[in-house]
Amino acid sequence: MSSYVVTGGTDALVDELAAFLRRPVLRAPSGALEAWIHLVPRGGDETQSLSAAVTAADDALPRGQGAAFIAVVPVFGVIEEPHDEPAELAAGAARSFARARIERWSDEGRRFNVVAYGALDTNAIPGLRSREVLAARTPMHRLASVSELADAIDFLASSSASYVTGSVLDLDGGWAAYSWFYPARDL
Amino acid sequence: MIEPILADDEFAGRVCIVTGAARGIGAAIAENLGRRGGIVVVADVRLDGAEERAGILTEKGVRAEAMRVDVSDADDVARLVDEVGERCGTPNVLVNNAGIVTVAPSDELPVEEWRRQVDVMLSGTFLMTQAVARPMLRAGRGAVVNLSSIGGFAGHPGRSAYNAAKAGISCLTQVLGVEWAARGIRVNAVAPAVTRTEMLEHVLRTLEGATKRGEYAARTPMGRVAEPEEIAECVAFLASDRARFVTGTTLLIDGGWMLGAGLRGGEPA
Repeated sequence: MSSYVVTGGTDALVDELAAFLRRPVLRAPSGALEAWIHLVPRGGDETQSLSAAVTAADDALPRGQGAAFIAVVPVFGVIEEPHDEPAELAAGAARSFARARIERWSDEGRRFNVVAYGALDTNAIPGLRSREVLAARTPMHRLASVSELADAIDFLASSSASYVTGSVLDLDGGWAAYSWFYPARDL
Repeated sequence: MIEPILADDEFAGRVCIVTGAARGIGAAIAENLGRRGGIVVVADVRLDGAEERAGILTEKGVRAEAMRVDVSDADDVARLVDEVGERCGTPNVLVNNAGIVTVAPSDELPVEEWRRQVDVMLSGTFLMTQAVARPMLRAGRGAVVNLSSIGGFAGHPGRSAYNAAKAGISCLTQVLGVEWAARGIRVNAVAPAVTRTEMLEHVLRTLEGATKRGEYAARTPMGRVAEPEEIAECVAFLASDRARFVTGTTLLIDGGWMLGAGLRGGEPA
């Protein structure tokens, strides 16, 4: 049975995600691998953790089959101090890794994408702002369930996204598109 | 890669309007939504093209209704939306796909050519969305997917009107996405790179072949152009409930075009 490798993140978040993802989740590569998923933040040196994951995925992610590395990072503003700066730096690094690897990984038949999450309904992300603040800043005025995050990850790992590489999928209820006043309003 | 996450009946009973659906990416989108149970309105500026496409889909077991619309004409758009309501019911999905391109030196581009492209793609996307959003807002649900382009994010010589219109479509997607987010309507866009369609053939024929067929694939990190079905799969995802927290965003579907350094494929000086 093929699986996903999930690195970064807290064990609690990995457990929550594993309940919804369409492949079994491993914390390290073993056997047939569909996608490598790296979660930010985990509460530590986020950029170093991401870099280590990209390097390890370079060895482990299968070639020639459109297998994907998926960096799961917060949109700017959902994480508060002191986790906000390391998370944002890693989010930027994820986009830079995608750029740096795009040609070689494309030659090797591998894809690299980013999911940028906004308001998530979980207690398992270090520094995630309160549910009240997140919902108020989100144009949809609600939080995403972890199952919705799993759907976004599964989509990017699937054959439906065969031509998608180097892209960012915003899973944020309009958070990133919104550039008006707080709390979010529609006029 | 894992199998598509959308169900075979993902759009069962849902009325899905696709503009520019007679050919190319639009035809692939119409077939994709219809194959998954959608009631597809095959809308096109040419009724004969729409009827031909609807006939092909019907033979494949899709419920498809051909309708004519000039998306740049507000009266015509209003008539279409009335017709959809009468023949099919409340629209649930709108895909603003209709597009045209004229490649020409910008200092020589006739103003009518500029206006026609902006009218069809940018104004057409707004007019269709505005008209279809009214019944969607009354129903409290709906999903709009617009066709942007990598052209909306960068400079491609000779494509001033096309690229400016596509940039406008992505910005419009942000505005409408956040404006209607709390009212049950999601608005997103996809930004394909070059896709194997008749529009590509048209571009290859213009300016005495200034752009060569093989150049597009060579310039792309993935080494090939997109197939229409690959764009349609992403449109279907964004239109589906699987993307119910996604709004106001543009998803690149470009085989890495935008991130690549762009040094590949050219002839050395």
